[in-house]
Amino acid sequence: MSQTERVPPDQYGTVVTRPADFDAFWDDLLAQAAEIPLNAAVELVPLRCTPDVEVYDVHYDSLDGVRIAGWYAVPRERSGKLPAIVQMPGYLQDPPIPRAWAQKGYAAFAAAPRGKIRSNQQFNPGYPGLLTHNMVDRNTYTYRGFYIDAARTIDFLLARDEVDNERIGVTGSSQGGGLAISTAALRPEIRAAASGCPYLCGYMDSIELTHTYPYQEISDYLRLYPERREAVRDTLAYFDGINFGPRITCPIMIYIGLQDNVCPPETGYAAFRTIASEDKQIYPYDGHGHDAGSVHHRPILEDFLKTHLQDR
Amino acid sequence: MSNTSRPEDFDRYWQQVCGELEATPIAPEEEHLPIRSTEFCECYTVRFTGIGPYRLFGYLSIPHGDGPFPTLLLGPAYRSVVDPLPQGDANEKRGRFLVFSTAGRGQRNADKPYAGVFPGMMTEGIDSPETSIFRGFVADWLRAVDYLLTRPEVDRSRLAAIKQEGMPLLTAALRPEVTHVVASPGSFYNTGDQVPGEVEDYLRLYPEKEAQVKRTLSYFDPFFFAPNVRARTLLSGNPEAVAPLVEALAGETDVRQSESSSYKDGMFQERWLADQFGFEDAILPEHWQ
Repeated sequence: MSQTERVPPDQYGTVVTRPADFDAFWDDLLAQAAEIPLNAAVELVPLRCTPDVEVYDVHYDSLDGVRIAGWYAVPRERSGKLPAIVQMPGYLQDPPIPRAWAQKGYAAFAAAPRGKIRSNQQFNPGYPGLLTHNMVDRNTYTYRGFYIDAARTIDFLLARDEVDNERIGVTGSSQGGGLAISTAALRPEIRAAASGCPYLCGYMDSIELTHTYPYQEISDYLRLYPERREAVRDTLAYFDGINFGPRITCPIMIYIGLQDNVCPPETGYAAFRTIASEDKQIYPYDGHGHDAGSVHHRPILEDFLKTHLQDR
Repeated sequence: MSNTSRPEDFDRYWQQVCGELEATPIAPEEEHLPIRSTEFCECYTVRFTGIGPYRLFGYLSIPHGDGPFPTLLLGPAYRSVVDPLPQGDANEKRGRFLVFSTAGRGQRNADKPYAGVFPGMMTEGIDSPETSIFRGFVADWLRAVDYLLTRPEVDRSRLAAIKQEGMPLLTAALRPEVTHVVASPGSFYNTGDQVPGEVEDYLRLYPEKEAQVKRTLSYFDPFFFAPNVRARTLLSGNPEAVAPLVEALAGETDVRQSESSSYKDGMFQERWLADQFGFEDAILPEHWQ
C-alpha cells in the first residue's frame, strides 16, 4: 500500500475484534498463575554493582513451570520505601540491567520472559519463530506464558520490603511497549504505564500495513499455511494489545513515530483509542520511526513517571 | 590520532587469525528454508565453520532471476539474536540483494558449545588478546566473507559489509574483497579514555587489570585497521569524534551524524547504498515511502 493510498494513521481503524470470553480467558490464567509459588531466587551480582546501585540476578517460577530470569537494581542509599518500575524488553533485545532507573531512585526490574536468553532453558522457539510459535492455539501460544511472565514481575516487587506497593509503574518500547500495555491491563497494582511504539497491537492490521520483520514472521507463516489464517486471527485476538485497552484504568501514555517501519503508527492509535483510563495521552512524533521520538520524549516520560510514582 | 597504542605485534596477531581461517575448511551446509522464502527470493540456513574450529550459522537469501546480485553481508552484532533481515528493513530488499545475515560464536543458532550472555560476552577472555572472544568474533565476520566468495551468485563488484558498529571496518581491512562498508566507529574505538559499559564494570571489580584489558581492546580498535580499509564507506558518528578515523581510512568515506531518528538515519543509509550500487531508487518500507 503506497503512501498516497494510506489513510492518515490517526484515522485508521482496525480489523481486530475482541473475543467475548477475552476477560474470562485472562482472568483464568491470572488465577492459575496466582496458585504458583514465586520461589524467587535473588543473588547479588558484584560485577554489575556500582557505587550507587546494587544489582541482583533474579529467577522466579511462572506458568507451565517455566523458570524466568530478570535483573533487579536498587539504589544503595534509600530511606523508606521506594517507588518501583518494571522495564519490559523489546522483541530482539537482550534485557538490559536497569541501573539508570535505580540511579533515579526507583527499585527497577528488567524482565526476561520465556524464550529470552537466561529464560530459554525450558522454552526456546527462537528468533525468528517466537512470534508464531503455536499461533493457531491460544492455550499454547507463546504470548500466553510470555504475558504472564511479564505480569509476575509485579508479584516479585510486591514481595520486596523496600518497594512501596502503591507506587509501581511499567515502561518499555516496541515489544516492551506492548508488554507495558498487557501488564497494565492484567495487574491493577500498576499506577502508571508508559508505552513506546507498542508492538503486539494490531497483529493482523500490521501484516497488511508493513512488510518488515518481526511482523513479517506472521506473513511468512501465512504464505506457507494460508488455510490457517482464520485460526491465526482467532488466536491473536486474545493477545492483541488493542483488546487489553478496556482493562486499563491507570494513567498511561503512548508515544509513537509517524514513520515507524516496525510497529505501524496506525496500530498505536488503535490501541490508544480502546484504553479505558480517563488519564491517557498519546504523543505522535513526525519525522521519527521506531525510535518513537525518544530523543524528544524521554524527559516527558521521566516527568510522567516521577509525577505518578515519586511525587505521590 | 587514536588515544590507544597500536600493539607491536598487531599485524602478526591478525595474520595468525587469517592463517587459522585459511587452514580451516569452510565446510558449508545449506538447507532450504521454505518459511523465509518468498515469490522474489529463496532462503537457506547455512552452517559453516570458523576458527577453533567452531560451527557458525547464517540466513542466506538469494533473489530469483539471473545473478550475480549485489550483496549485503549483515554480520553478527553484539546481541544474542540474528534475523534474516534487519528489523524494519523492507522485506522486498531480498528480491534485489543477496543477503547473508550471520551469527557469530555464542549467538543464537551458533551457541553450542559456547552460549554467550548479554551482558557478559564482551569481557569473555578479555585479559588477553589471545583469549578474548572477539578474536573469534572478528574471524567469524571474515569467515562469512569467505563463504560469500564461494557463491557464484555474489556480485564481487558490489559486496557491502553492514552493521552500525565497528566490525565492518575490521572486516574490510582484512578482506579487501569487501567493496562497501556501512558502519559506526563502534565500542572499541578510542578506548583509552572511555571503555564500553561492560568493560567498565569489569575494571571496577578488577582495577589491577586495566592495562592488560586496554591492551586487549587495542587489537580491535578500528583506527589501526583503517589504513587497510579501501572500501567505499558510510560512517555514522559525530564528525569531530570520528575525524581521526576518517583521516586514517584509505578509502573514500562519507560521514553522517545521526539525527536521532531511525527514519531519517535509515532513509539516508538506504539511499546511500542504492546510489553506490547504481540503483535509481532505494527499496523502502511502507512508512518511509
